[in-house]
Amino acid sequence: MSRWCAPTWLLAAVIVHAIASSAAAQPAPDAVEVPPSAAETKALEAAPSEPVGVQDAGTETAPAVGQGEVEETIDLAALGIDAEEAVDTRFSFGGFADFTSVFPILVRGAPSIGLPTKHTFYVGNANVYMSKNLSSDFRAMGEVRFTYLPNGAVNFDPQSLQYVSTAVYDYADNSRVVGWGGIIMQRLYLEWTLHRLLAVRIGQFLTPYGIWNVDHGSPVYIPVQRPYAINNHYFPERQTGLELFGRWDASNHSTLGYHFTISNGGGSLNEYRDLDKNKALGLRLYWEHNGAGFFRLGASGYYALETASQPKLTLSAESIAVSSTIESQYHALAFAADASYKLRGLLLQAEWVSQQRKYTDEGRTAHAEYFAPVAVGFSSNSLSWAGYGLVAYTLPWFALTPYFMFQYAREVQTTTIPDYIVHTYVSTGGLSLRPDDAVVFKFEFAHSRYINGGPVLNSPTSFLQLQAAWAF
Amino acid sequence: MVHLGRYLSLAGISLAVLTSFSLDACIIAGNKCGPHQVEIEDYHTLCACEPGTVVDASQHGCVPCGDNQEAQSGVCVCKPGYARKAQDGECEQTDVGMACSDESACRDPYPYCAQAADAGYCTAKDCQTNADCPVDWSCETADDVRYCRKPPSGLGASCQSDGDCAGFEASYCETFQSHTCVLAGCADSQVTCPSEWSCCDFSALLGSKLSLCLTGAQAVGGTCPAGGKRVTR
Repeated sequence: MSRWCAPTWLLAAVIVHAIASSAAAQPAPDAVEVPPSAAETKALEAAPSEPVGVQDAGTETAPAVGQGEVEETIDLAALGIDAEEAVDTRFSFGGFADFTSVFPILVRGAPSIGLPTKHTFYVGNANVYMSKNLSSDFRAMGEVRFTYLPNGAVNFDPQSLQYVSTAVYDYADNSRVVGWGGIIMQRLYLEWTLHRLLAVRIGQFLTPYGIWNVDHGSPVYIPVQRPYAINNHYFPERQTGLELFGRWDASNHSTLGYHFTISNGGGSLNEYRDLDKNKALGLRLYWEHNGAGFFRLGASGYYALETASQPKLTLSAESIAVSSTIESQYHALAFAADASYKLRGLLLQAEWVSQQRKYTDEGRTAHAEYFAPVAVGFSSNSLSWAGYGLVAYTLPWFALTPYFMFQYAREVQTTTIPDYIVHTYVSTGGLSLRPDDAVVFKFEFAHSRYINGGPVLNSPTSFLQLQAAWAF
Repeated sequence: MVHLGRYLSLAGISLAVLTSFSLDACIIAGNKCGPHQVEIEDYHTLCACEPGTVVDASQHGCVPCGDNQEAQSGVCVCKPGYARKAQDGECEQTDVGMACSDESACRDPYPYCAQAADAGYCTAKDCQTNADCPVDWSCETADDVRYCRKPPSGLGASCQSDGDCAGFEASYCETFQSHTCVLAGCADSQVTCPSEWSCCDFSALLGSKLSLCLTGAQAVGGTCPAGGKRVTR
């Protein structure tokens, strides 16, 4: 593990160097970005991963195939238009949804605990955006996912397996049995743009790291599911707190940007309760270059003390005392890097995400171990990481896009089989088709192998999937 | 503009280097476990209590066993030649369990020479319940005498397969969770469970024959865990 460790001052020096180097460059006037294609612009309007504001300081110009998220920086004053008056303050609704058909080819053993073993249709995401420009400087944004969960979710411990049932009698419909679903708050924030270099978000926001955590709509990302690097949540998917961000056009072709976050951190109650005294800190830096193609390089970091605890009540004749019993507590340090390059129809994209966990003595709690040499153990300090590389090429005809993705993940399990190390290699090949700007069809084959999987993961997994994703 | 391009290239390279070196900011170097713990790496990466220690009552660490004790299957037990008179008492030197061939070799308060497969041992007699005996011993009847019987041999010993339990009375290795030698086959009279224990049959659950002797703590109120069926005789 020591090969991962070297002086951190070097890291700081590099950051300073990068900023100093950029600052030395001649400032360039605002320029109109390379205009997106008509199809990209329509798709952007149809499926915004971020609502388009008048001047969004934080929007990174995503180079997704057949999907653009391009910021327009037109100097309205130069055109004789009052920016205040030009603000569209209408309340707008939008969103996305997807439908998937899964054909399992090879699913055996432990993976079949959570994956379908028979041909299955499902509706996955049904997300609704609500946004409004309150003025030229303020913007409100909310996103909610409607879901059938928790009905049918797999409730798993190594000694039993069952589906959660939310079946209840509906008093309004002759006591017919219905299974209720739920909602998952994706984000809800107020955004204040002070300057192109500085904007502030307060509320709940998607953690700014990598590419597909913020651009999380199924019509936007290319494969049927996002890679492990994103959905293993080495960074929290979303945080509640404060986000500062901004961008600076260093030249006609180059832009530097940053995001800084301070929040409650991760954990089950992070939306409205911090269970320790430490605040989580995060930073993202990126550089975009629009020359011979579009290139973006980003690096992100996140540090938090993640605590899970239960309140403890002590009653006496004279008083009530409330304390807490720590169930788990660890220092989490996550890093991510991402790079993407787009040249006409070609897209090359890669992300790498890691998380180190260092448990406190108080938060390293004994638990049952399974398939292990000991019956009871403790989680050790650990490193989990995942990465992927993707190649895609969009043809002019209906944005037909063949793609190939390879990913690897080394994850130390924390829930199902605690402390089990899972090495996963996934090869994915697919084809997406966009018959309309707001609609994308994906056809995909994925094959997973588990290296050194031991008694739990000793068989590969293969799937065919068909997905329709649409924005509205 | 040439300089600008250079600077920006430098910025890009710096970002790339930053990315590389971000790998190096590390918080998990050195010992991966807590005090009195050792690291185990197989298909897992976990920490376990080091030899001679057990999980403490708060479940947040490992504590060394007390005087005259040794760790066995996660519990501090008295070393041979020592016993507790009470559940939370200290391990004191005692004659209980001393080898004997007849009662003349035993003296009060352990005057009875109980016969076992390997050799006789001195123990107390005229007990009524397990509580009258040293901790983990059981009150049994032989030749119309109520006496304190020592725990079955091998019970609770760590194991990875039945081979590790061979030769013990507790000859079955429970490999799913506890990884210890246990008494199995009580439903088929292959073994007799100690007094106040329960015989639980899990055959219907597993699709193959398996019945285990469980302590009162494992089968609370005589109810077998995980849907097992209690067998009474």
